[in-house]
Amino acid sequence: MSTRFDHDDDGVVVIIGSGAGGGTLAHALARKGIKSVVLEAGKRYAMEDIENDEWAMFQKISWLDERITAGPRQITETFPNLPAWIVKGVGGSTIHWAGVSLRFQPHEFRLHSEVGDIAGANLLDWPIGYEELEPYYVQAERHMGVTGEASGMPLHDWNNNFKVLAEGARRVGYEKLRAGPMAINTRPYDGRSKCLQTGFCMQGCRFGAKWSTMYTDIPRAEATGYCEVRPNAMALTIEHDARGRVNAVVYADGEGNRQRQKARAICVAGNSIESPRLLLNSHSSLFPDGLANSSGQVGRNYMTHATACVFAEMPKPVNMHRGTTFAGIISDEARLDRSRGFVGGYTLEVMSLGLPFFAKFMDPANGGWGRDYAAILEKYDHLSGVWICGEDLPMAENGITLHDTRRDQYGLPVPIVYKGDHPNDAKLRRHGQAQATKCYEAVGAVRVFDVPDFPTSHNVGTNRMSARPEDGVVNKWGQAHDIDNLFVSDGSQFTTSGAENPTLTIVALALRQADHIAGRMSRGEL
Amino acid sequence: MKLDSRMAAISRRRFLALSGRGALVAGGLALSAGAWLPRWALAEPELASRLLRLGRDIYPHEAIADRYYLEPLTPLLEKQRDLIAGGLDDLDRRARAAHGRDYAAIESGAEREALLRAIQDGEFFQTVRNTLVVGLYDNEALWEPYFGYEGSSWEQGGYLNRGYNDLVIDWL
Repeated sequence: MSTRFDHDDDGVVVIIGSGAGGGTLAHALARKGIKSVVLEAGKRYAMEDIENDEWAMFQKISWLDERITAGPRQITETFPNLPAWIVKGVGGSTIHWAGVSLRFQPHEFRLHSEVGDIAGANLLDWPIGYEELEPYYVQAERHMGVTGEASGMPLHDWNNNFKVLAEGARRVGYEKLRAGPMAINTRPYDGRSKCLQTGFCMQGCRFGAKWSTMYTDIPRAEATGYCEVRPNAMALTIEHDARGRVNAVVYADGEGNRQRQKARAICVAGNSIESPRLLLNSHSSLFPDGLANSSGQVGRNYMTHATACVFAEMPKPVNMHRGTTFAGIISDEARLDRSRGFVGGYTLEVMSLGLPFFAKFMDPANGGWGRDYAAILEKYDHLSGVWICGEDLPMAENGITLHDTRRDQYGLPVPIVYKGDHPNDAKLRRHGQAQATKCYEAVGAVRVFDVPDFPTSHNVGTNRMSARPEDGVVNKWGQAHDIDNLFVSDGSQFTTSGAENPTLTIVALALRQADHIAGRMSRGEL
Repeated sequence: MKLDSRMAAISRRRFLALSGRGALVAGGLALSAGAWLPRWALAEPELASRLLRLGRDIYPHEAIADRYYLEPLTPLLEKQRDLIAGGLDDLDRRARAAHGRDYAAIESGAEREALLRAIQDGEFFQTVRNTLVVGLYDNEALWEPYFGYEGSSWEQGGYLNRGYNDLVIDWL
């Protein structure tokens, strides 16, 4: 924490964001002796700030700056200013994520080639394949402490919630039932505690058993002396020189003063709303449509996974709140199988919510109240739940745009976050709801009911990778097609969403990008 | 105990109200003055009692005492009095038009719920509901006794040795 770099030091890499992408990248670069300044919009939290309290932590760590939810979806009505449930703080959304660490499947990197053009979708293959990313998946799993082969840690024992779902799943013929892989320690690992099954994974892990850059990569990067993290530093615009190479980031510091940090290279990792927003805000006479946007794809192809929840009341208490929040995964439907009437697959992930959140999220629409509603809540301890994590298709019109007149506290245009379903997304979701319902009925549920999707934590695709510059924003290394020292280092570079939670892939890409940046620097190219 | 006897008195009144018997007039439940009642329930007992009836119909839990509804709801009388008072008056007008009596005097819970469904998209109703969905269900005192939710666990070392995997599926 003692290292300070001068604002005029143009030898530093400036990294915007400190989560799965930015935090991992800063640490990986620091270990190679590459200097960086991390600009993090949020504040720094201590372990003592982490409480087992859903609303308190929501208020404390969430990104609550004004955003406008848009598009034909329920959360446009129910959460008009909260399209995404992500974190503003050092560590970013790795404080909030639940630890599910699935690799993409090989075919998911080439979905367009597998299924061809789909009307209404802006489908594209990734410019990299599974084989190319696989070594970085292994590295990421060891780095994060993912249960299973790479780390050597056993998977978790099945908690009550997963026992219920898995028994139903087994009875409907599913076979791929696992309590992992999770980046949650089942024994002490990497200097961190084993999981004590406290629950509240999404409120931050009080014991540090779940991987988060908040207490791993960030402090370790700082300890090398090669990284300075500046909390409360909101990036406003990226500047460039006459040749079009980026050279500085203008940001607002904690006192609201404008600062300007020079840079050798800039890596944008502010999550899939803020990252394209920053590029769009950084328009100039040379780049009138925003930085790195010659393709017109910055801010487009926003994906969130096609999701929904199914909950069931069981004959006896389940106590789903005990143990990890996302405790088990069913992967039988993750395959590509067009006979189901849709492309892409989904995972079924057992999940829990505490009573305070469940009372709100069970039906956040205006009609979520009354005698039936209260009667379900009185059976809270009998409930079991599952979340559907399905591949949603990229659509050009889904994305992030800037409001014409509304400004936030930094004076920046407020982002409008537009998302609608492709018909394929809707079919996939319905299939998932039906299958989850079958599972719960097979295990003797008293009643089964759908719960709508939440403000999304899986935000990807708005600065996508492409082989050709006209199809996307960045190349296979996450480097902007248009600007050779500008990188995107978060989930916004995803070309497609896959059926898997994004964090592991974000970390693998960040580790790979660090090697690429270091290689180019050593060759004098950057 | 004094406090218990007051709560019992309130409960008796609530029973009378819910059963449709007793001295129900416009204004619904009469709240007795008592040190444990929230400040604004004491300041405007008539409004507070009508708001209580509404709250108990939005998230009805028979076993939960009035005070747990009043504590989160009555600050609305301070912060948004016009909205609340106007909304309650409007609700009574609708009740009289449909049933010839004030809202709180309608005996049938189903009939009261039907009246509320007609106003559920309005600001008044949603203000009350959004206040209550947090104020009621985020009250630690209610979690374990009424819902079986155990709340914060890290202080007790989580559930590693306290039943996170103790379920035996014996009902099939």
